[in-house]
Amino acid sequence: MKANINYYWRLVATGGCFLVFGIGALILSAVVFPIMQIISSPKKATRARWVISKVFGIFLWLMQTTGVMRLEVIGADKLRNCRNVLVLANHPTLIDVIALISLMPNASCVVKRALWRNPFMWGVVRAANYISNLEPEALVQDCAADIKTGQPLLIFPEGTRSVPGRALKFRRGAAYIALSSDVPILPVLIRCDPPTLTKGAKWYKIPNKQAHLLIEVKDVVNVSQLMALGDPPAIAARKLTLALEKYFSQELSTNGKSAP
Amino acid sequence: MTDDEILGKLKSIFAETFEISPETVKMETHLFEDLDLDSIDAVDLAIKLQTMTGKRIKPEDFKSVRTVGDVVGVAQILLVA
Repeated sequence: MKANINYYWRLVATGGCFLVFGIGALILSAVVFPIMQIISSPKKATRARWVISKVFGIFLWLMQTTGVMRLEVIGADKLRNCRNVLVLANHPTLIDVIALISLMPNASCVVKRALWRNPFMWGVVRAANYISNLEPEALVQDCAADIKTGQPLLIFPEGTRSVPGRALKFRRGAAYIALSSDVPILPVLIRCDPPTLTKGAKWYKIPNKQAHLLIEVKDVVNVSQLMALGDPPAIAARKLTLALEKYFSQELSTNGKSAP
Repeated sequence: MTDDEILGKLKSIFAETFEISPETVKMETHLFEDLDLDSIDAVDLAIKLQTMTGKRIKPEDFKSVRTVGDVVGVAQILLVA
């Protein structure tokens, strides 16, 4: 009975959170960012990112206060102060990207092109000057240019959310970017138990118990620690992608309590 | 150049650029599913093909390429153009 009440409460709260997120994103897109666009200086993307980070932080607080999920972060300060790094994370759920951006007030992020036309998110991704994944060649160049500014760049190498129960499969774009920009990698392991808001899942398919999102920020690794250098680009990207897949799979197979 | 000659050249390009063994490269082999190429590799491949034929490839001509045979077809068009 008690478990039942909890389930229906979380169902209602999850719906409420989606509603709040949609309204919030719409207000940012249609009101806040257009105003900032008019009054603000050349640093408007940086300010927009800061605003998004704070708003996402409030949203996470709401999700936790209403009991939709519980968030635990190991090594948050490594994210907050990072510069000149490529932040790579696995992507099991919709919530992880919100949590990561709330932890990184100045990060850039590679975002799927569809969000530029999303009725809620269009103004957010534009104002923040996030990088679209549309053209592969341009993507690698855009990302390398973005990293040169010193701000961290967040990429989900899977290119989309993970498929539950299937082995981790990384696309090679992140490896190309790491190889061409010559900055270290900051790996972030994300575990969501039980899985929720996975790829293709409807918002109302909530798990039977509260989801626990555990974010574990590892120490930076250099590309040279993961593989031997000197291969031509396409082959190096393949080797680095395999090495990263292996690293993430091995680290994720532990229970996450080994750190810090 | 015959199709077989072009295929032979493609085999060596695949081996050098992507470390793909020549025996897996056949006319019907699917670039993205069988050889695990991605869109960045396709751009690489188009550049190699330009070097091989000495002609410029229009991006839209290469967008529809799916199999090794399609690549051979594009190369043939470039060579007669």
